[in-house]
Amino acid sequence: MRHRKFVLLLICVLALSMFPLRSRAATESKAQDRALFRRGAKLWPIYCARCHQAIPGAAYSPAQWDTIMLHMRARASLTGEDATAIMKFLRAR
Amino acid sequence: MLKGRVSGTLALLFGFALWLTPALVESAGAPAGETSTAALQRQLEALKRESDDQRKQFDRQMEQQRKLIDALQHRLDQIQSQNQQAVTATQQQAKQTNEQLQTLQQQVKVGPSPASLTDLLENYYGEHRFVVTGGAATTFSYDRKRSNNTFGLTFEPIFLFRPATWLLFEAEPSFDLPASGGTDVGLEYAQADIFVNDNLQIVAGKFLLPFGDFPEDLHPFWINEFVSRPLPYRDTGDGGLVPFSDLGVQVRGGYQWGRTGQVADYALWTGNGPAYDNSLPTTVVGQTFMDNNIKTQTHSLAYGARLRVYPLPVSAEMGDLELGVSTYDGKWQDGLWFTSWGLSGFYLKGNLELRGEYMATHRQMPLLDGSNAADNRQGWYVQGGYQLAGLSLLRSLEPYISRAKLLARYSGQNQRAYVVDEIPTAPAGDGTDVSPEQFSPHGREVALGLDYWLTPQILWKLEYDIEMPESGGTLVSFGPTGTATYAPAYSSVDHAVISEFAIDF
Repeated sequence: MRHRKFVLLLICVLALSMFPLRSRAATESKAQDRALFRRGAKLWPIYCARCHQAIPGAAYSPAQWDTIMLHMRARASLTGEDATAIMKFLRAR
Repeated sequence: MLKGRVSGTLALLFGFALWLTPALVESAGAPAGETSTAALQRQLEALKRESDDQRKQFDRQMEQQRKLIDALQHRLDQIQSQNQQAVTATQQQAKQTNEQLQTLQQQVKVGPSPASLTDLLENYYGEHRFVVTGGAATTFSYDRKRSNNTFGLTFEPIFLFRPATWLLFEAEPSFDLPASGGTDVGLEYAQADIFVNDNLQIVAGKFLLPFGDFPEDLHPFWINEFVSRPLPYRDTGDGGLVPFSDLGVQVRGGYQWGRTGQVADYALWTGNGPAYDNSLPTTVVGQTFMDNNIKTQTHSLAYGARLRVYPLPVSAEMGDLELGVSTYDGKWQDGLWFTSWGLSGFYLKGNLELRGEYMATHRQMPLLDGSNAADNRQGWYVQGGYQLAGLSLLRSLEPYISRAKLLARYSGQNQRAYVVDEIPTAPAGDGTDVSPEQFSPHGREVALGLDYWLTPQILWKLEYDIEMPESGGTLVSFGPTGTATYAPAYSSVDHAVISEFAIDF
């Protein structure tokens, strides 16, 4: 009986502790998204213009950008983070 | 008699009066009065009770009527409220309908946007793991001296397939319709890209050579801002002082070493190595590379490397600068090495663009004539461009003028000889124009250009070339007999106008 109470208490504590963790994780995720978007907005005109005109995001669908940005990451030897940031910016259009 | 009758009547009246008197006295006297008062009181109380009953009944009726009136009033208020709500809802609905109608009318007036169309297509086609992009171009060349006046056509689709977020297959065939006739079909590259982590990629297959900037990044006609290529990259097919592609494996990637924008990228590769045109009767200095070195020519592989550094951070707003160094080395024949190195760089700031490359190659030659003379070559180009954006002149034309770019390029190369049999005599979609002077061993060229982007993906190019080769060098010709003959190289000046309409899709 005592053991069962302990397990129940533990579950309650864990459940309560999840709320701040989840909300903090969601906040951090949104903050990271915004930071990536801003980074992509800065890099897009610079990195693209090294070789060609900066293509606007509306030129392709978001799903097409997933594939095309992989091609551009390989061609221009972009870091994964820079490629993700530019893709985030292009997908938002 | 009468007197008697009157007396009798009077007596009768008197007796009657006497008979009535006790009754009257009784009604006015004490015992009889008490009885009458009690009756009256009873009657009065009865009347009071009746009155009270009637008052109570009246009060009840009044209460019932008041409740009924209240209920009716409440019901009336409810109906009025419902009516008001209905009126408000109807007005809101009418307003929303009107707004939706106006929006629809506006959308119909403007037409579908590319974004909405792509969204529709995306919904229709799904995830787009498979994408076809690439470019198509038609070229026009004019050379009065050579009496050339002709069109050409190039089509280079790029097929991309992304089975996973860490894997990409890509291939680019090329179809050229040169003025010489027929159709040239080639394979620019076909490779698999494996993304190991943020800073490391593995590439396997036939890949564009990561040497300098031009072969890998700038040579597609929808990217190259000139119709023609710089002289060091203008041999027949895809080649020049170095081949444009190799078949092998690369490891490459980028690394951020400082603030945002301060990155470096690297590429290390091994491949089959360079191969030279084997259609000639014999090996000679100045011969060109084969387009496809799809089998190793020797018992060893070639190796290459490129390192590029971008030192300026984005936040400094000082522009974008690249400094790069490359090398490509391998045996082109057993015991005979081909070695090369190159420098590349560019600077972009605002509307200004500057770029350039220098390269030197060394090819060990067999002892054909006992001289063991090496096939050494050097090449270079510098290019500048200015986008006509932000000019204060003619503000009304600014949206159109800002799409234009003025360009100038000076390129040259030095080598001991050129093989006449390999020099194209007709323009082709790979950027060659119609002047043989560009293939002089000491070639020099000034190219002036005007680019106009109808959209970021549709480009019209106009180019004026001045070929002004310096004297020196030899032209080797085999002719139908296969015997090598030598002649002085071109040294006259020639001019050409070429134009191209290129679409990147």
